[in-house]
Amino acid sequence: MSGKSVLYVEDNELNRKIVRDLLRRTRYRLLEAPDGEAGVAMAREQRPDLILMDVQLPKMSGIDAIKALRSEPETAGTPIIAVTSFALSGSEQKAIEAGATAYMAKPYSPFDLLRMMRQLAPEE
Amino acid sequence: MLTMVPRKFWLRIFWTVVPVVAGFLIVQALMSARTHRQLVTDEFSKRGQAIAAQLASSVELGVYNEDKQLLGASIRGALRDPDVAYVVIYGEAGRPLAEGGRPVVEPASLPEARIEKALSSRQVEHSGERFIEFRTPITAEAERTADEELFRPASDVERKGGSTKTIGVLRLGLSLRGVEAQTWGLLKLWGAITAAFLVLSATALYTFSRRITRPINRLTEQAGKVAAGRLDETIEVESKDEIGELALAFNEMTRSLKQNIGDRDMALAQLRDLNRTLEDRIDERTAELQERGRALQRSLEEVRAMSEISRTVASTLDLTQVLNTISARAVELSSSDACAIFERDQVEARLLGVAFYAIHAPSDLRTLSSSMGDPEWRPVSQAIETGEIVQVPDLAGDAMRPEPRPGRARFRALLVVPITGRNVALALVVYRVTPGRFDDRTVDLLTALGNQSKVAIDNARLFKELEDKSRQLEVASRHKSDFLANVSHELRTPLNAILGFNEMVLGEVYGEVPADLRVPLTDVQNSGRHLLRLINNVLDLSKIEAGRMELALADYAVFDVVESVRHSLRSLADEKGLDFVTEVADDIPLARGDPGRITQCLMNLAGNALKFTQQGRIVIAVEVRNDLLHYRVSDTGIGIPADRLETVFEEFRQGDATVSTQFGGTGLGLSITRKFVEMHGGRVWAESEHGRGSTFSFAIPLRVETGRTA
Repeated sequence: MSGKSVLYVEDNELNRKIVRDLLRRTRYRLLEAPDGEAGVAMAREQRPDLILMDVQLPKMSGIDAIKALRSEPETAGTPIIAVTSFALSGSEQKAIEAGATAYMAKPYSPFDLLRMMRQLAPEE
Repeated sequence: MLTMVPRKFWLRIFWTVVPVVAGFLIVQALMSARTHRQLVTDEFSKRGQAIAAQLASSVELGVYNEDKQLLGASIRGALRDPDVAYVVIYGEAGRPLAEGGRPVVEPASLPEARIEKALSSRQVEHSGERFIEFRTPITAEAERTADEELFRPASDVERKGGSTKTIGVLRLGLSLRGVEAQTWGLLKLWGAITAAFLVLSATALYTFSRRITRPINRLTEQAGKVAAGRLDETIEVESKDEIGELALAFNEMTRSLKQNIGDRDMALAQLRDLNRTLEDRIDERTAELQERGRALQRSLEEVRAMSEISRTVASTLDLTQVLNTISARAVELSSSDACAIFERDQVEARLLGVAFYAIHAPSDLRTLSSSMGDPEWRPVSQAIETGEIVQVPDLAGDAMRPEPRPGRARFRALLVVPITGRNVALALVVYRVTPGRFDDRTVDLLTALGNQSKVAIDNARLFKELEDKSRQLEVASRHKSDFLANVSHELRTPLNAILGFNEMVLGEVYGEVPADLRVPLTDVQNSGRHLLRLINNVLDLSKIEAGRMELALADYAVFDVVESVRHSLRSLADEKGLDFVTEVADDIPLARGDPGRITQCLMNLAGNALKFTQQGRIVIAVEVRNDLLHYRVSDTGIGIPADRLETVFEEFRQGDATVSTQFGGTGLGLSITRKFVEMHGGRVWAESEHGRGSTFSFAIPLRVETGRTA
């Protein structure tokens, strides 16, 4: 298993499955977390190469989670793609301010997301 | 210089008349003296001639004989006449023969030549005395008949002439002394007459003028008295001449003056009376005015009290504050000591105290009930029941009176004003420490206050209701917005899955896709995207309406925004075989605004353009003019009728009602676009030629530093 690890923090199982299916035929190794707290804990333990962080999450919001990750030296440099919601005005800006490397508006095209992932963290 | 003019009237007349008369008298005297003297002198002449002639004839013989004795006797005889001053007789050749009377110096002898041939006379003067001197020749008859001698006078003889011969000359002087004395006497007489005339005329004038001046003086004196105001005296009229008439006229004038003055005095008295009346009236009116002023002052206070209530209502619309203001003003207007407002509780038979002024009323003492036996219970209930004012002049007068509540025991008189209406059943009670009825004015004032209060309380209640309702509405609206936001989020989560999985199927993530499945799967994809846009629009609009839409201002490159729109819609344009062109000027500087919203606007406009265009091209063009960014989206589609160009930006409107069924869409896109543009401080407009295409433009400031609420 030489592929890069990607952590997807997302509360909705179906959305997680999309990414799971999308990455099945790639060399990315997917890690999943259902809420902000679990996401931050897993990132601390597993040190993923890339993090996909949904903005609207239970327990701890995606914005807070990004801030938490950026405050820890182990994850301070990890690229983070914020998956923003159109429903929250200015969430992209908030995510970037909190420390996200890039953002992808939901609903997203899976292939667009994959292209962005490859840009930030090439598979090999 | 003052000219000395005689002041007395009579002297003036005297000095006017006397010189004339006196002059006349003097002239008359002189003339008569002269005439007299002439007459006397003529008489003298005749007498002298007669004497001389007679003497000359009587001395004829003496001269002839040169008989001096005889001659002397004749001369003496002649000198007996006192007027004869001297006689000289000359003989032949002028030789003096005899003389008599006063000595005569010359001539001692008469020269022959000077012997007169006839009688002559002349005036001579000797030694200061004047004489008339007669000279007559002494003749002798040559041959004389007896007849001649006896019957003819010598003169006749002489006239005959020739028969006589001059033998001598007689010189006879008559003294004029007597004549002159006579003339002098005459002159003296005239002088006396003149003097007498002067004296008499002066006396007469004086007397006469006195008769004129005395009445005049009296008139003058009377006029002085009149001038001094003594009108009762009259002048005695003494004569019936002009002066008398003048006096009568004067008396008449004085009387009429007196009458006039009497009239005037009467008028003055009347005037004084009028004045006094006027002063009284003025006093009356002043008092009236002061009374009115006081009334006005009271009215003003009333108006002020009323307006304060209105103002309180207008400024707060808080029922408690309105009631407090009313109770305070009620005390002020009625000059009473305290006030309370009670409200009838319809459910339980009791009165709730809702406002108190100058009364300490703890919460347990606020409520009145019949069972507790409050003294206000009966009048307050009665007032609310009947809608009439109720007075209790003396609470102590009621023997059966109930015990008042602590804090209200000191009050003796009550006035209860009902404030009843559709939604109001209140009573205003004013308390007074002193017993007695409240006067009519107070009753009227409090009635007016009651009416005003009714409106105020009604308004306050209505306002409170309105406020409650609007608060509820606001909450409901917020709930609706929250609901919509949640719903759209919840809708999008499965939609994300649908679109995602469908795209991966189409992308053959799950294996090869049979050719006949590709079209329906693409339709699923397009419909899903459309549904997403609809949800997004509804969500945006709900946020805008809730006032929760805010711009996320950031610097952005116009080129990037336009490119992202083209990227999103390119595939759709390709599918319809349309040209999709962007024209962005090179010189556009970095802009500031909400790039997400501007992208949305362009997506809406360009999406519409794609939707309504079957062939031709879509152009997105951007340029900067006067610090304004001009975005333009034009198409070659069906266009919009001119009469609908204005309304297309309103919600749920598109060019034609049938259009939405044909092309789909909610019609929210344009209205959201307009809202976003306005939030950027810009404006949006449309131009179109029906059937030839449309151009939608919006202009926003190049750099928007503060967003506006939609």
